[in-house]
Amino acid sequence: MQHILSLLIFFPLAAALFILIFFRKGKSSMWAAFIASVIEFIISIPLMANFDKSEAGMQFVEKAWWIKSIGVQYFLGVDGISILMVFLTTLLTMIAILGSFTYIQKRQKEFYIAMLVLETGMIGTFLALDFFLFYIFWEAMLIPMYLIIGVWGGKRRVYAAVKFFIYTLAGSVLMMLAIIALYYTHGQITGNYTFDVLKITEQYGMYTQGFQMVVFAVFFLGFAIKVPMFPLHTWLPDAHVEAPTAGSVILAGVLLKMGTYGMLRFCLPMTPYAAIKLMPFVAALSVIAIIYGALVAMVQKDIKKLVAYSSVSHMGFVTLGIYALNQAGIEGGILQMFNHGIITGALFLLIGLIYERTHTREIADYGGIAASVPVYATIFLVFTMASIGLPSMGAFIGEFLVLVGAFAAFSDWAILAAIGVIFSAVYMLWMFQRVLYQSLNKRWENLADMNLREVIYIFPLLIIVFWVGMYPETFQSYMHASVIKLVEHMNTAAVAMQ
Amino acid sequence: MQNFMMNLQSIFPEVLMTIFGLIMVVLDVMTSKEKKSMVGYFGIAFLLIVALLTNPQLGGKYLGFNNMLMWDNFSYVFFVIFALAYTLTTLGSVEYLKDKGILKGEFYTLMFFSILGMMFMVSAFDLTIFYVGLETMAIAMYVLAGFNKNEMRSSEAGVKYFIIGAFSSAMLLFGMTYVYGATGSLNYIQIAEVLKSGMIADNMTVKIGLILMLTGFAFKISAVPFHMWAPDVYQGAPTPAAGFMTVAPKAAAFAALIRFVYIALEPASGLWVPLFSILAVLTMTYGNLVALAQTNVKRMLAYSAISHAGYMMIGLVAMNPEGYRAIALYSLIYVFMNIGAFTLLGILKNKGMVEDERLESFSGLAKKNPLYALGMLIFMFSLAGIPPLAGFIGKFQIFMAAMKADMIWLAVIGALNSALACYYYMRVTIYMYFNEPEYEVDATVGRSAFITSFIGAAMVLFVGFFPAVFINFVKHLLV
Repeated sequence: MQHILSLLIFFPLAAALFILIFFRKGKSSMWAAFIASVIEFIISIPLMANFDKSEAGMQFVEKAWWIKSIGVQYFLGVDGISILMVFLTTLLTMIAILGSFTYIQKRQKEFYIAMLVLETGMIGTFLALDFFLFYIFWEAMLIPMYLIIGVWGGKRRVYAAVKFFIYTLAGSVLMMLAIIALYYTHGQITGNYTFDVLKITEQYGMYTQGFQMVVFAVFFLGFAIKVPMFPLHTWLPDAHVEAPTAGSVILAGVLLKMGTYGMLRFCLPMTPYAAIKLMPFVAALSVIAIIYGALVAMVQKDIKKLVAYSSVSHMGFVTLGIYALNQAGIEGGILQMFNHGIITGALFLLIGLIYERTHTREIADYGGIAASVPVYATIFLVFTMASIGLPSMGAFIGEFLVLVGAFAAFSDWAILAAIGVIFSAVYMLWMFQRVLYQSLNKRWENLADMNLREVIYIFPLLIIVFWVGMYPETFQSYMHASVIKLVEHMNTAAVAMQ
Repeated sequence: MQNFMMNLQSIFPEVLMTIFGLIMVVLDVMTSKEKKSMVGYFGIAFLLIVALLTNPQLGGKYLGFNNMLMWDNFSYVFFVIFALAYTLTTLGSVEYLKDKGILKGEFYTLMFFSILGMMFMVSAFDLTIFYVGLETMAIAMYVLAGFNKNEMRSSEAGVKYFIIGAFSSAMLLFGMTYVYGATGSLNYIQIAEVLKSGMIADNMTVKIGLILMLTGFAFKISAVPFHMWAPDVYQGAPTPAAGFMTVAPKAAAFAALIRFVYIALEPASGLWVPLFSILAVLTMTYGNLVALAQTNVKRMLAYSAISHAGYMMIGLVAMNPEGYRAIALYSLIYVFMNIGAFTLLGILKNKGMVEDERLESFSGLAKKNPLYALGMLIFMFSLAGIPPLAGFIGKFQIFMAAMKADMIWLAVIGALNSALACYYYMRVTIYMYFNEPEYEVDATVGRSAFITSFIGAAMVLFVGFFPAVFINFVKHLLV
């Protein structure tokens, strides 16, 4: 158990190297990658099981010097905020790999290597507690994702891949400077020059207000691009539409969560003054994202683009909850991150598998296919409802908690956000109706229904959606302690401000 | 007697280098026409011997000949950088030169002697020594640039380099005379003392002299607007020589500049810091913007070399030890990534895997030759400064130095520039990975060129994961 976090990070990388060297054929490397991702998922289970839910701080900590002369550590740890994200990553990577078996036809070996390298980057980002290490994982992730979109994507893949890369990079280069500024400021205050996230966070009271504002703004920009928040979301529809199914699943399921995770881990506790001051501003942006995303989703002709814009809307709920800065809001936000990963991941998989059969994503091309693919229609309906936030399914709990938290903090914005829920019902149901109901388009009379493999990879997501909806405590119990600690931290900071 | 020993120790590495260089000349005569590469390999062995014999103890300083020549850690680290550049270039050049029919021993001898010149430049504590070193290096470089005399472009590069080089050397020399006239000395330490006394703080003579000298330096490090020669020379020169020229002479010029401005001009920092800050911004931005517009990969790399000089200048104006340590680290990393990239480019072109250096001819390289495409991808992303590759470590240290010196605006411009630069490096990968090949080609690449690019790529990855090794290597540097 001692090095379980390192194992989680480096196992996929090792597997990728193994495949690179020892495998020749696409098919065998595909299976090898799948087995590796299953093992990786299995490794994450004891992590979940042995996680002490009453402990608010970091667990399974690993600490070693990496570059001693400038105070860089190899410092890993997991707490209630990150553990669900790690679980989500291992689960979705496994499913995404299984979901690509027939979708990826060219250069299979390279694709699976890229997926495994990407997994290393994602898990590392969630576990790193040293700024330098965090930054490395954060950026390193870009290369495999760039290749996944660019090589295996759709028609405008090059444009989408470059846009994705440049957007994220532009946001994060300034973050690097903010990290260095924190390093020196913290060093000057304490005499201890380190990139240790926890130590730098501890000294938040010593940072001047102006400094906090600048650091917050720079970090926020970097994370907001990743989330993505309005008006920085324009890369997302392109990337989603052009990426292969597995790329979309990972992008929506995990990569977007990194932005909100970063806000929780860095923006709030490290620069509480700025976070509290700018709370209304972020809430406004979130609500704009919720409503704008929903409205734009409504008029989309491409199913994938519709789901992409719905992501903008749903992630708006997450940021709204986080910046409510109370327990309900933040827990709702984290839960919603998890739900969104599961539900949107599933929706992208479902769109991908029908695309493999029909080679079109235009809503207008479909119609009435429920008659020829009943199993598919049923599952699609469940996830459509889940996405809308129907009670008894995951997203309902998340959105409800977010709205509860938001009402306490800024009731006006919360009312507007609640309207967004209605919009989401409009675009999702309308899309569902146009694709699966109405009169059957003759082209799809003989459409094949989901096969066993496809049912298998959707099935775990189906269970989790209902599980979270029926008994969210299983998942929420992981975050209680850490979130309470974070909220207390923010309250202390707020008191100190006055 | 003690004085003699000190003198000997300070010049010992250069003496060794001279002897070995002469041996190489003899070897060149003795080897048969097909085996000229042996000369180059012997050079590697000689450099290894010198590196092993002359490593100064930690903090060891050998200042000899009336404070004219210094052998210390600083000189040593830069010597290692030159030696690595020579080694990689030599390994990568054999096949290229053979294909072009210009495999001659002189190629290696000249490179070897240019390193001798660079060592004098870095070790100099006196302007005369510095100047002699500079010319030794420069003349070797002119010849290397025009080494492929059957090719118009190469000859043009040689002549262009020579004319501009001579012009900038003259300017440097002219400036030196002014400085000498005003301060009465050519020694760095004494110049600093005179400047510190403040008596000539407003002296126009000194100012003119220094500005002329710094302009000369700016030519050598290809800072904008004194860069016009660089793209043509780098593009025209034989590719391995171009790789060497973007790395070693630049590192040498930076090292000499660091010595000069940190020791001699330390009291006059008000003059040169703003000057070089502006030059740094111009160099980074211009280099990147023009590189964006290039369709020829070699020329793009030439402009990228200019922009990299801009990043290094940030370390220079930071005015703290972190700054020049970062420059040393950057140069060290730059050796691997840039020579690696140039070597790959050279062999790809010679074997017809890319028809010429146009971007389009890189189309589908990942399909034709996945291994080389992967190597190129690693070099490109490393040059762009994307972690976890080595280039990022270098950039990070540069920005750290700037932030420490409170030059936040410069760090911000640098960071934005590196985001901008990313696009043109990425464009190469776009062609390699995302486009279909234009034509099929079947070629095998020899062992030595493969080894060079492999070492380069492996080091870029290794340093990315274990940066402490390189950082510790430069962390005790003091000018």
